[in-house]
Amino acid sequence: MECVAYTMIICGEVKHVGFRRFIWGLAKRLNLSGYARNLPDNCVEVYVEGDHQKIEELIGKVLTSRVYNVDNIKIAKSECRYFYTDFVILIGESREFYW
Amino acid sequence: MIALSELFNEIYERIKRYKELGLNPLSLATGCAVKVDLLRVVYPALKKLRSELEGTRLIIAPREDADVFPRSVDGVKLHRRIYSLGAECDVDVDGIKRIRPSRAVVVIQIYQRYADNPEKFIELVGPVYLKIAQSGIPIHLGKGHSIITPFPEDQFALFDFITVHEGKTEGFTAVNNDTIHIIDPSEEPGEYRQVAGAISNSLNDIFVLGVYENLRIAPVINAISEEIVEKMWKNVVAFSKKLNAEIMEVLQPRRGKLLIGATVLGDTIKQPPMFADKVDIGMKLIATRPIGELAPINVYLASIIDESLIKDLEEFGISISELEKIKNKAVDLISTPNIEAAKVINKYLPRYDENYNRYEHIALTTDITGPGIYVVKELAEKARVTIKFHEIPLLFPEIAEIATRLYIIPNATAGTNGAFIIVAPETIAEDVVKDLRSKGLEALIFGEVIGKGDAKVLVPRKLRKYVADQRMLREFEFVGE
Repeated sequence: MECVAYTMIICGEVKHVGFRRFIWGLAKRLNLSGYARNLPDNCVEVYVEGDHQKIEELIGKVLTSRVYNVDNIKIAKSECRYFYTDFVILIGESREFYW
Repeated sequence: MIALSELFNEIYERIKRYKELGLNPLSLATGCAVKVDLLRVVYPALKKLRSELEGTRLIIAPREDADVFPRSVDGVKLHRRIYSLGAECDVDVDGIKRIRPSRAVVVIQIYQRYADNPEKFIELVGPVYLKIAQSGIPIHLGKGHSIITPFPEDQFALFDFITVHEGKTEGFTAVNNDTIHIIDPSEEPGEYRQVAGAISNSLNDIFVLGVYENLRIAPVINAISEEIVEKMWKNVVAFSKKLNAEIMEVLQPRRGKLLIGATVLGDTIKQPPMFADKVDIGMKLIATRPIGELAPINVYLASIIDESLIKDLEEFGISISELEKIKNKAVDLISTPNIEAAKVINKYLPRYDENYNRYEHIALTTDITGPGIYVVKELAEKARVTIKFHEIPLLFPEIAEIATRLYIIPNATAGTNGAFIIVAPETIAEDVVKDLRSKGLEALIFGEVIGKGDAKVLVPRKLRKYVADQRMLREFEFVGE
């Protein structure tokens, strides 16, 4: 499996609505690693690395969600950093995580 | 039988309706997403605020689940004031001087953009506290909680000031406040179970202390629709009647969106079970009923958000209709006040003028909330003891395991208006369980204190099946199956 990484800035109705936990659950089920964290304003940053198809599946679920209103999503592909062995939710700008 | 698509459409419609009422119900099942972050925001802000209040007579008490103070035989009076936040806050200092309160509890509702930042939090909340302090009246601020609103115009500070009449005291009064937005997003707002769950949740922190007499409820009820407000009030009245509690006539925020909760007061002639230094080797840990009611609600909601989970659930042998039934059972439990457990706790406490007896009295209690089983670690730290679990008292172990395996909830032992954990001497433990069972509760002894000095909790390895939060798991030591 070739490892790919994506950084996504997802904006819309995504803060304080359980969105990061939704991403966490998806990423864990799809065996992806990385993080999700809140950004200022109405955006969440998601960094995922792992199997390309699985990442596409995650992005598809975010875009087709009937309950989270995503206004726009910016996606940048990069090389895997292999820094994260798990998917975590970061608190604010820090590297501290909830679970 | 209702078709899946029909069920989903019905729930999507309800979610849309909740959004129109000003909240996203998907954040609400765990209750945490709507609270301001305690560790990162509230505690640092309060630390700074305490230093700014130094030299004044307004004291912000250390965090406790409820405020407890000697009960005045002449009673207390509650005065609700609702202020705007920030420099323009409209605190009537002379009014506070007139009512001369000695205690207060507070609910802060703050715009979400400011809720991530301790500096901004203090910029908005600080002026209210400083103005109240200008009254010069000695006030003990015993309990507070801060919640988030997505609308800047909906910010407020709701203070319930309590004037305690001077004179003879006997026993104790306990006060708590709490608010939530909703218990079960798949049900209509204003329904009895939503209201009963919210107010039971406020009462839980005084019930866990064995306080259940002379209950008074000062509701916090808000919604943008008068029809929903009316329905909520009707259900508050019905709920209060069941508990024989008095409803206090108080101001309501009349700003902001859906909000249900209450400041609650109760009296007791017993001493609350706060005898951490008396916890000893051999004492038993009793759960008033099994725990983990948030797991099925979260699994149900997650299946609505991500329909592919339904297939995963079916692989575990659980259909959506079965899940719905289990979810409803969990909501029923959340909507049931733990008053019967409070009565049993009260029975095994010393009178206010008696000494604690190590063979007759309950030493400590706690309620299961968002951190779930982790509250036992907090309990071990408070009493500096080692606790060993014999079993994990879960309501729905299968669902809890699925919730963990599918990464739906990081801690499937979590609860709202949760069961109580009682630390009781061996001499009374079986009697306490018997009494709880006689009230229809599925109480059980699930652990015991096995050492003193070190705050440790030994748990069966299978806890890993119910908790995905690795950081939390690191707080436990694993033994046995």
